[in-house]
Amino acid sequence: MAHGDVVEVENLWKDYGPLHALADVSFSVGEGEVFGLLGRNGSGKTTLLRILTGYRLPTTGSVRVAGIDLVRKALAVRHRIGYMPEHPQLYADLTVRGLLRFIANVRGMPRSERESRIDELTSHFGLSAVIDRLAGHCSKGYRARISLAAAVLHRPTVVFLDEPTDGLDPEQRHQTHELVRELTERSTVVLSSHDLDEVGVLCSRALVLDRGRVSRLGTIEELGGTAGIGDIFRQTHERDRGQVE
Amino acid sequence: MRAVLTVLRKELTGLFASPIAYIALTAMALSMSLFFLDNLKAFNTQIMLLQTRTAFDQIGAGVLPPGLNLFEQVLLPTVTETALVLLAVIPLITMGMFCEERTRRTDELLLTLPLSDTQVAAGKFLATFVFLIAVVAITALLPAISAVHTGLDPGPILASLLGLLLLSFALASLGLLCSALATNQLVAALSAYAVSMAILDFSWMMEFTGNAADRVLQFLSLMTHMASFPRGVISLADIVYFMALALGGFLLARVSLALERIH
Repeated sequence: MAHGDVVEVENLWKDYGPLHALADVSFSVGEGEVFGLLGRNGSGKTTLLRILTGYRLPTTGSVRVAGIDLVRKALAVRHRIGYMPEHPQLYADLTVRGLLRFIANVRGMPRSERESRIDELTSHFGLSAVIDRLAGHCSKGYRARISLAAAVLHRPTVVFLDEPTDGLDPEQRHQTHELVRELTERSTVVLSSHDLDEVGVLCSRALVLDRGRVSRLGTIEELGGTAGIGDIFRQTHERDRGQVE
Repeated sequence: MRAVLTVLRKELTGLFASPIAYIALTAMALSMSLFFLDNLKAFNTQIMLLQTRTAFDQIGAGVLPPGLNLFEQVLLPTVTETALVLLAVIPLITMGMFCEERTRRTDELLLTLPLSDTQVAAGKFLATFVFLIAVVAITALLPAISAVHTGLDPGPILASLLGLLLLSFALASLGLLCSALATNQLVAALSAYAVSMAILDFSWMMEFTGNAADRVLQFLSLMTHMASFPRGVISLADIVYFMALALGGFLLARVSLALERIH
């Protein structure tokens, strides 16, 4: 692992009974990078992100985020990361402002900073229309933006985004891409997607997962651009279809 | 501690935003009032009978009628009946506390915040306990009015309320543990009912067991430890029993959160 790596994953395994959801995964992400996790459905992207965010523990292997061991010092890591889950579900009994306040309080932000930061994010993410509405009752597009605002509220070192544009319309996708680009000014971004164009546009490097194993790892150019990654997907798809037949 | 209080506030907001909180409070107020009035009516009927008997006795055989006691004949049965209502209401309050987070997938947000499993569990348990203080406070209203207007000794009434509070904490802990383990709210509520009913009173089982087992079963029964509070006796053993149940539920729920991260 190189000096300045913010995320370091070594020989990571995650087993569900006899099934290896992740098998011997190793990679690192440098400071300020936008790193893509690619793979077909069920390839292990979400499992990997859930481990990187401390939501789930690995079976074996080592994960360091911002130089801190995730298993030994999970709280210290969670202080430094932000996470936008796939299909973000928000509390139906808290308003958007209430939700952001709750997260800010958990993260120990002083009240004066908290309120000014919430106002800043409300304006930045276009949340003014829903700020006093119940978060869980907002539309999918708004829930994605609220979840992204919640993930970056405390200016984290690393932001993990799980399929951030899944289910959004083209305009909302474009807005989300802009927001991700802005994030890189302060944070390292790790995003999972099965949208090759999205990864091609946003990421500098990517890892392709296939059945929980690292299939390819490199810069987008090294992977042959979106066309090259598309070929990798097609090959795995045809292999899986052949095995079924 | 601040993190626990933040979770506590969020959980209380959630509780008071749900209809279940108001249903629980209304059910407690209504049932307490009905039990109280019913017991008071029976007490009044006894007074009337006593007056008739006394008049008859004065004419006839001169047998002394039994004395009447407002506390024993009205408040004591009301406390016992309220304990049974708590047993019915508490699983409804606790069933969603952990389980709903999982079914709505909001746990992914909560468990990736810088909160330890202990802080998450403590926030949820304390929020439930705070809510139950409000529930028990409602049941205190009529006994308090009775004490003020009849000059009853407030000691046994306060002890009864303490007993109800400790009982509700223990039942809530069992309910919260069921919520932490269950995959849906209905299962959480039903399993909480089953566990609560199972340990409520083992006296029926004692006919089939030996002396040593009797003592163990008696010690494990919730009602055994509730019995002395309405008599105004606050026993350390009873307090320890209820607090041990509450603490045991908390620790196991915390372990279940930790185990969930392994899956």
